Amino acid sequence: MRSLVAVARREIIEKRFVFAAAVIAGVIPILVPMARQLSGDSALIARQMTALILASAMGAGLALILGASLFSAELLGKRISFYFSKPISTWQLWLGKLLGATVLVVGGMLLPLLPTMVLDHGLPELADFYGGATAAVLWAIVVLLFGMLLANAISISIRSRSWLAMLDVVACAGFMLLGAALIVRLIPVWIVLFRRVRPLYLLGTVVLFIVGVVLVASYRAIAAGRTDLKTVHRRQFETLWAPVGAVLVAVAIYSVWAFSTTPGGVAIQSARAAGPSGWLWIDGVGRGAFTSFLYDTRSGHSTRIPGWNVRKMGWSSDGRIIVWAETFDTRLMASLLHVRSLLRVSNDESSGSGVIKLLRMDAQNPQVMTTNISFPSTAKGLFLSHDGSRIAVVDQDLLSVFDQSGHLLGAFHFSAGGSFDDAWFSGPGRIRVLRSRRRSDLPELWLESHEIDVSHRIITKTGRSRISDHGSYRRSAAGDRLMYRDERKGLLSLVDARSLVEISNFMVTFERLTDHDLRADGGVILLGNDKTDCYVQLLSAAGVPEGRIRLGASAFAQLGVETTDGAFPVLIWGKPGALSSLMLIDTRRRTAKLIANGLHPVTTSWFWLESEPWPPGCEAGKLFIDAEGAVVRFDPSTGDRHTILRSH
Amino acid sequence: MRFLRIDPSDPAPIWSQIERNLRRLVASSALAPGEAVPSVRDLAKDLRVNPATVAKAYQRLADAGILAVRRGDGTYVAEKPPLLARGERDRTLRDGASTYAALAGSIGATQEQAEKEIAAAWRNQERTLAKAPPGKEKKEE
Amino acid sequence: MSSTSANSPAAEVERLTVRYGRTLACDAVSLAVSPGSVYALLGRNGAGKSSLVQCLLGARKPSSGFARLFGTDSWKERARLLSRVGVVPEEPDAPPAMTARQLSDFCRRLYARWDSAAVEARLARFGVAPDVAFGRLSKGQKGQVLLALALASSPDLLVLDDPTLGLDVVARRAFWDELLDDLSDRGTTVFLTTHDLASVEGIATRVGVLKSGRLVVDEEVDALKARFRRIRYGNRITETRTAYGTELDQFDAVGVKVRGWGVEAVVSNWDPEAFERFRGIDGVEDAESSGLSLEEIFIAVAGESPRAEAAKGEAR
Repeated sequence: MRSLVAVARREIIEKRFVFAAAVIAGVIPILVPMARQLSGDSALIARQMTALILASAMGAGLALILGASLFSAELLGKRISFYFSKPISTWQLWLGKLLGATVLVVGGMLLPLLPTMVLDHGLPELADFYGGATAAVLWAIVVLLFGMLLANAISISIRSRSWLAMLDVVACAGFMLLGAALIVRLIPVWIVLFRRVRPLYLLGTVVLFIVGVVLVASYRAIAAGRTDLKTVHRRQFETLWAPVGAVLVAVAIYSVWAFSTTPGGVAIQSARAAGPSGWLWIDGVGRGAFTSFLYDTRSGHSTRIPGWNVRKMGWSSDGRIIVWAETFDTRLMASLLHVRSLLRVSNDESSGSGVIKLLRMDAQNPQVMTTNISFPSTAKGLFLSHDGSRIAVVDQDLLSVFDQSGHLLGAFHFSAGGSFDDAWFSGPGRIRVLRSRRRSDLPELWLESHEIDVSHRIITKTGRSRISDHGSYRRSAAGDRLMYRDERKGLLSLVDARSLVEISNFMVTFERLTDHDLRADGGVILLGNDKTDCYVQLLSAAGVPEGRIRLGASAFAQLGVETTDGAFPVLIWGKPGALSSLMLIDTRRRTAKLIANGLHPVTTSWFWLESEPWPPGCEAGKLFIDAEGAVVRFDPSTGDRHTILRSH
Repeated sequence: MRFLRIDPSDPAPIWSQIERNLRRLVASSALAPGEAVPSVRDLAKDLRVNPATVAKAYQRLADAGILAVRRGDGTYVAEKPPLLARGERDRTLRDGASTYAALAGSIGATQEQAEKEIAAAWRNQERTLAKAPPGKEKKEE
Repeated sequence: MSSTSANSPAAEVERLTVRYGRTLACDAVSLAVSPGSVYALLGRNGAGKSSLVQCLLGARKPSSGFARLFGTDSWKERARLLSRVGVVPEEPDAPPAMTARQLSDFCRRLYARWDSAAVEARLARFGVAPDVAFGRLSKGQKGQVLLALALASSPDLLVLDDPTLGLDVVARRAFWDELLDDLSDRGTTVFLTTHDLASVEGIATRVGVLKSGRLVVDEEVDALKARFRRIRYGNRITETRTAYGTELDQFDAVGVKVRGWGVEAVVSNWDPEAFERFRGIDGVEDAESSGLSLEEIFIAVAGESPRAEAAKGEAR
């Protein structure tokens, strides 16, 4: 202890001019308002800010200067032997010197504040900025200590003039790159982790780890190298980089492990249909990471997708080809994750844009291809032709059609002033486009139907109709008819998709319409409720009411996919915490019966991923997620039920 | 001490050189009985030898009864130092004489001349010893 | 590890090896400094003296082997052991901004016993001003300040690493005189390395010679001087009068020069009776022998004289 104090004392006495300089610097904040002839509050602010800036500059400068000469100067000058030839234990020498330098740095930082603090009775400006002068000063000391140790490490590296200094630079750059890459790569882990740990605590842990490593390295270097600069540097190199490297490698290994999960190894959080044939998009948490898969319930094949980056998804009729747009959140991520893709995307990319990827079931194995088709941040739509050979991208007033290898087959411009409402392949080489337009001279909104002949590159306007500002429509599974709903009037209309000519219309009598769909037989099914109960309303194609069935007390209900025999599963949401129930509505016999509890269809809308018009009787309509999160195949007609994928 | 010299190329250990020289000084009455000899410290510094070496020589001389150590006071020549053994004295004289004779012969001097020089040196030495008591003078090399 | 005991050597290295990359500074060196002795380690520049001293002081870790002070490993117990050791380094290493008085004040806090008055007295004898910054002193004065500091804690062992290197004759003389005073007063054990052979001639009790990292001599000075002698003789044994044959073998000649008048040899195994027989060999004429100074012995053992080496260094 005596030696420690002696060493610290010696350091301070030798460099006591620092205090003198700090005291002189303390006068500057008082002079500044005088020189600029300020008074009152503006003088106070000027004085306080000058003092704070001065203190920060003094602290930072001293930390770097004193840190750089903490050990390396005496090591290089072969004067460190003075201490090592005395009965001073190594830790007392190390701590004494560190303590002395810390006192000098902290003193040099705080002394310039003193005159201002006396004059202004404290540091109100600092308290305003950091919510407490004490906390701010403590933080500053930690930061300055780190700066000092870093300067010490760097100066030892440079002054040793050995080839290891080069390796220091390489290691530093390499580990920083690896760290940045891991931070980006581990976003799925952060998503999960930040639900449990506050990000600030995690950041604090990382900072403390780094400061700890630098601290330990500075001690071990001196303890092992003593008077020999080269050995000091070698040991510093080991102690500095070994733990950092080990942690990074461990994290990298963990990331490889965490990201090699299969759908069977995750706690499923959601599952929704990615096509009619049984492909699901599954989100879950496995091995601490949030992961997303495309999973085929029939074959068990799966492929990982960065679910949080998928913006749009489309599929072929048979479900064997799935297409999606994958975006990059930032340029850094883009460059790290998809250097190759980045080189291919065009120059005017802004953040949020991405590339289009394609999954193909070839020879029973799913293969993911990254196309060279870019998906601009402004793009709204992405869909496939029935056979999956054509990819259409909708962006502002432009609809582009590509083949799977990314060749542009046609780019179709529409006049400005309108917007795409919907577009789909109505037949081979033919695209139906619905655009709404507001005519400049009139307040009305018009819906226009166009047909694109892709191979002849012809756009034909086939019909138009006035629509309400508060409306929405849904197309039939075959794409030949639309069901238009005017929310303000409570009116539903059946419309021919090509000509937009109204076939029939009818009033909605529910207090609230929760779901509606077109039936395979041309009729309509509506779900709605009054204050307490939930009902089904059936209507014929001509708009004639066919019956109304009370389903029970519930505030909300959603439709599943129609079965081949004209029945609809309906999900009736229960009270919070209670199991939902699944009922089957027989539209022909106009009956409803309870068929299961706790099963949710995977075909319902999910935020931005709008529900597609599913073909009646498709495989996706038989897939449900149960109360435990397991994926279940359940045939509403027969009641056959088995679990396909358990949730962990 | 004027007559005490250390010869670095003398293969004899330094303590034995000091002992031999002191014995001669005492035998030749250059150091009179009861006379103080330099302290170990002073002699070590004079001769630039390890004090332990001087102490060893003094110890041997004290053991032989030539020097007497008075505690807290210093070291003195014993009141009645035993003389050199006759045989040793004769041999020492003979060695010196033969060296001198060889030197004289090699420069072509006659025996008469050599004997005259010996007699003159003897007289000169007695005169010097009577004038300057040993111990306080330093002799630089 | 053996504990500190009265019987342990004050300083000792055992099969000490120090490597710098591929360079071997010390090659399995073993030596011991017994209490009360003055051990002079000699060697040309780069022979490994400083590496050995650094290991002994716990400032450098041996590549293999041991370095001990008072019987205890000096790397492991450096701080504790050094409270009994005074050190004067090869290069003055005190912080240049501190004055001698401040240095003394700093060291006073590190040692159990510290004689500030003795420091002042020694500085006065040396004629060094106690209030001048260390960095502004001459090289000789720096060495004197460091000796004053090294002696102030009344150490059981003094380690002097070529302390008079680069000092002029007067400063050197003052340095050794001060050391002799301390030897007279306290009988301190000393381990020193030096190029100043004439000065340590009478002081050292034991001598070691390092040559390219190997300890080639480790012997009491008296024994060494008795063993090493120069022999000169005219040679009539062979046809050419200046050649020499096997007649010198019995003396283990380490250096033989053939001159116009005959043969001059430095032998390492001189024996008076053998020499009498040698004189009687038919053909050996006018054989005579003479003693050698430490410097002459060193030159014979280690090669060139340190002076010649220094001259070579200057010429470069």
